[in-house]
Amino acid sequence: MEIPDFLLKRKILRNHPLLRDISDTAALDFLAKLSPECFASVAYSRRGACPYLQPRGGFSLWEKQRDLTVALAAAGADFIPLTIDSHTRHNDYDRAARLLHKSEETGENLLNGYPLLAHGAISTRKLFEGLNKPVSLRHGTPDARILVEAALDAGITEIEGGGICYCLPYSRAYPIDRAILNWQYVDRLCAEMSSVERPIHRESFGALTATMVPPFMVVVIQVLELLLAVQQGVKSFAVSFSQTGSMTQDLATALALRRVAEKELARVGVSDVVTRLVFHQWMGAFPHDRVKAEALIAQGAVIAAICNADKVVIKTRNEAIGVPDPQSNADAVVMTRYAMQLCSGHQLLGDDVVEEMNAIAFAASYVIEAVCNLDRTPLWDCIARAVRGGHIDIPFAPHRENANRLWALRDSYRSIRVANAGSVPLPQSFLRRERDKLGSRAGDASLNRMLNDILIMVRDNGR
Amino acid sequence: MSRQFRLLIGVIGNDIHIVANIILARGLRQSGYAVCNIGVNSTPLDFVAASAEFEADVVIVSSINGEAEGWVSNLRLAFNAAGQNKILLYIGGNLAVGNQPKKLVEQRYIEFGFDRAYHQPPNFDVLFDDLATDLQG
Repeated sequence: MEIPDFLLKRKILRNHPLLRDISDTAALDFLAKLSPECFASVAYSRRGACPYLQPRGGFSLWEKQRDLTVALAAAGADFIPLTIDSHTRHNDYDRAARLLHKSEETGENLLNGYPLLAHGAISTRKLFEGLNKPVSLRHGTPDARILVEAALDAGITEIEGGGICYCLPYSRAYPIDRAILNWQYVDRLCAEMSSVERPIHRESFGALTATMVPPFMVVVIQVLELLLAVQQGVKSFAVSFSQTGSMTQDLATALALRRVAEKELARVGVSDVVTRLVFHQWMGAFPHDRVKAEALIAQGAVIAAICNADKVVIKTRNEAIGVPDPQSNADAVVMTRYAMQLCSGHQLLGDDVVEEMNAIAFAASYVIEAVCNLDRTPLWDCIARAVRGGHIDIPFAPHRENANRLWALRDSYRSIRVANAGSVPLPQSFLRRERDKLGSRAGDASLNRMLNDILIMVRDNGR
Repeated sequence: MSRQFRLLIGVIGNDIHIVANIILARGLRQSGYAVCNIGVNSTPLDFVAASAEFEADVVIVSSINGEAEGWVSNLRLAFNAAGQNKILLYIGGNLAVGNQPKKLVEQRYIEFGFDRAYHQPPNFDVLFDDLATDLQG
């Protein structure tokens, strides 16, 4: 294990003013009393034919968050989200607390999420009383150690994030090596708070910037974060990805994620880890027209059902307009579930999907091998070096250590193709195939073309 | 040919909207300009300091989240105070909150001392045309 002095580190961390009033064993004690249905890992093992549904949502005020939570549960959400505000995500707990107090005075919502540390773990537990559903922590935090300590104290059993996926797309300057090490702590903490029957579930965020990220890069990052988590003892982990605009590529990505994850776990000799698959409905710029927004959501539902995702994280028709109200969230739950039920049992995996899956899995495995190939270097350091060298490169990430040299365009079937590999070590055969798929589009470097590719759901109605 | 024209670009304020910024940087480079991109979350001081160091001919400020006004109303004065009196200042993006007439919004920024202002431009063409015109002489 790479944190030999984990218990010592934890002891020091628990001395933080926001944690020290709660016993170090609060999480273990509370989790032991929680019913099995509240554990994401247990819920996943009991899933029927339809993927689980999880809406999004976070408000600054406790009462509003409780109302939202109850409304989402009543609407049929299988997983309850707790989305954290951006100040807490950037460890600015004081500012989050000040803005919470101001919100409480004025009744306004001055934060873009729930400030978990300002409310504290004990009152956060009460948000979920009587619901008997697993809660998922959604944030975007490069250093989530204190936040996750409090989340586990509050009985939250699913922790989203990772050292790569919550650093490069979410931060401009947080050092990538420190982010990965912080997330090693989180992974280890989740492992320590797990029991064999009821592990704490970890989930990575494969949507990344949701802007022209080639699927192979999603697979690379998801599987590397799975391997990092497994090193720290995590037993239940979900890889994820988001709707790209190309159905073929989405179905192929799902298969490739499962295949490469399985292969890499076997390579490192691990057989006691359960891997789940999570699908995010379209995360890019949404149509303003509500009817089109609903059609896009329905397409996402169909894809989630056909690729047999374990969970789908949903959007609402109000996505382009602003924060969704409870009714639009409830409608999105009903619409997505209905569309998924209509698809259940169908696979629709044609030759094009299989060929695409082979290409994605081949490229991802090739890059993972190149990243992990440094002798006698721990995995976290290999990954940090790979980011700095541009071997791992997320298009449109705001982070200064991200190379931003990998560049993709859409082919005439809307699939995302590598136009310029930058420094990513990709096999020539893969790059040739990508160029062939782009055809005459490969040479079009115009700004309007790039914008059309990104704004595909807004500008051209999906073409 | 004399030296390439140098353009400094960035997104001002607590604004992490990066997509258009990266596209713009690529497009300007492809058009033959030397581009220094200071990226998102940049302060007025970042623009002034980077412009001096880069010896920029034009500074192109972007703002997407609608908060630009509070950040840039004194930007021309800051450049003058730093001895960069001749710099061309452009600003574009989503320059006001809510529905306001494009002409009025752009005029407000011209009064702040910007040479060009683009509120919700439909594409980048107008920027490229104006750059070509302004840098001709």
